[in-house]
Amino acid sequence: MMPTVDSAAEKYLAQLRSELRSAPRSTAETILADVRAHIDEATADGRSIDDVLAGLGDPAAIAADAVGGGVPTEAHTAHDRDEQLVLAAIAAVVGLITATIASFFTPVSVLGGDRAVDQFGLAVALLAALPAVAVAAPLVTPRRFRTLSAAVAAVTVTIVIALPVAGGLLFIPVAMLAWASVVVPLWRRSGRGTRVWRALAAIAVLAPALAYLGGMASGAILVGIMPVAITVVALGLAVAVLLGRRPAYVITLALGAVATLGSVFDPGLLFLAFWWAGGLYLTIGASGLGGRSVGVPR
Amino acid sequence: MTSADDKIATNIRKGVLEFCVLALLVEREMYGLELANELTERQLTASEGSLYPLLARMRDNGLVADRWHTPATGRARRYYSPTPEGRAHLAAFAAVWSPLSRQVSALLKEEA
Repeated sequence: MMPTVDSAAEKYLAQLRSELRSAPRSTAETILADVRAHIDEATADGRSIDDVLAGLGDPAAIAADAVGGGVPTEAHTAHDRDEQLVLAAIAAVVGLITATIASFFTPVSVLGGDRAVDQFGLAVALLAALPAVAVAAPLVTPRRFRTLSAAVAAVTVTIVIALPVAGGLLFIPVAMLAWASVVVPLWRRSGRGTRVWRALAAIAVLAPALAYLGGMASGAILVGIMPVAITVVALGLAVAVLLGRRPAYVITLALGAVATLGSVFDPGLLFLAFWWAGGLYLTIGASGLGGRSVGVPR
Repeated sequence: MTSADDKIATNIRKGVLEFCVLALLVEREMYGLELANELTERQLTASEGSLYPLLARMRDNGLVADRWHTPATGRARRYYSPTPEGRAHLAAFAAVWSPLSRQVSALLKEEA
């Protein structure tokens, strides 16, 4: 091949590579390989390099299609939709449970005393219900405004946590789910590192087990079969999550539900710990199940 | 074509392009340039480059599979072929397209 063909082609490919930098790595490499082969074959067939590059079009346009512009194929949009709705639905359920506990069961202060609703009246119950209503909003919002309403919900829940009255810390699981429903779809759409996501998810899965180990080490929790079993399971899950195995997210979601509901129906000294860990696992499980490109390698 | 016509054509093509690709691949597996040539001949795509991100997405979504193959004469190439899901996806599109395009054409005749 003449030097001019090579250099024009290399220049085009370099430009395309640069435009593709925000696309998922493997996708970008596949596209670059295919375009390179296209150029090689077409010039071998006798087309002029200028003609071939003109036919391919502007590298920026190609990259725009790859990063998420253009028309997404059917399966892709469905997953985007599902994920946000699944997270919103789980958040709404957890929000309702939280609101019930916060208003009608939790004492106002750690020292005991009246329940919040006794001391402050029904207004507190309404305030406690606000996060549940907010996180349910995306379920009925038209798709264009869904991310916005999810963001509003996440901020609302965060504000409620900051208020002293309505049992703030109880809403942390709802907050986790609410923020995930905003952040995770955006993260996926931007095409940023699947590996980074999986590493973070694996650490989060491991965190409650590590906390448990810490408790055992400091003597606060008695060593026994349960804590060891929990640690082993969490380790296995974390590895599976790191590898992007879809069943891992299903199991994490299930364990989260068990921990959340278990802590409500059988509250003990560690109620808050199981409540938060349950919320964390619900969040990771639901987030991982939503997207193909996040959780599952192809 | 005027640039307004271009826009109309581009938007319509964007909606059907993946199904055109599937329809071609159902006939026989093809490599990138082959697909690009077939589509260009039928005026189904303005830019050949847009084919490749589409193929990548279709692969991620399980609609097509690819394999490397070296024919008796020639270089090794990445050949694309439809998966069962891809075939089902195409069949679903055909079921929609048939009545839809009939209706649109009929309306346009009425207009004329």
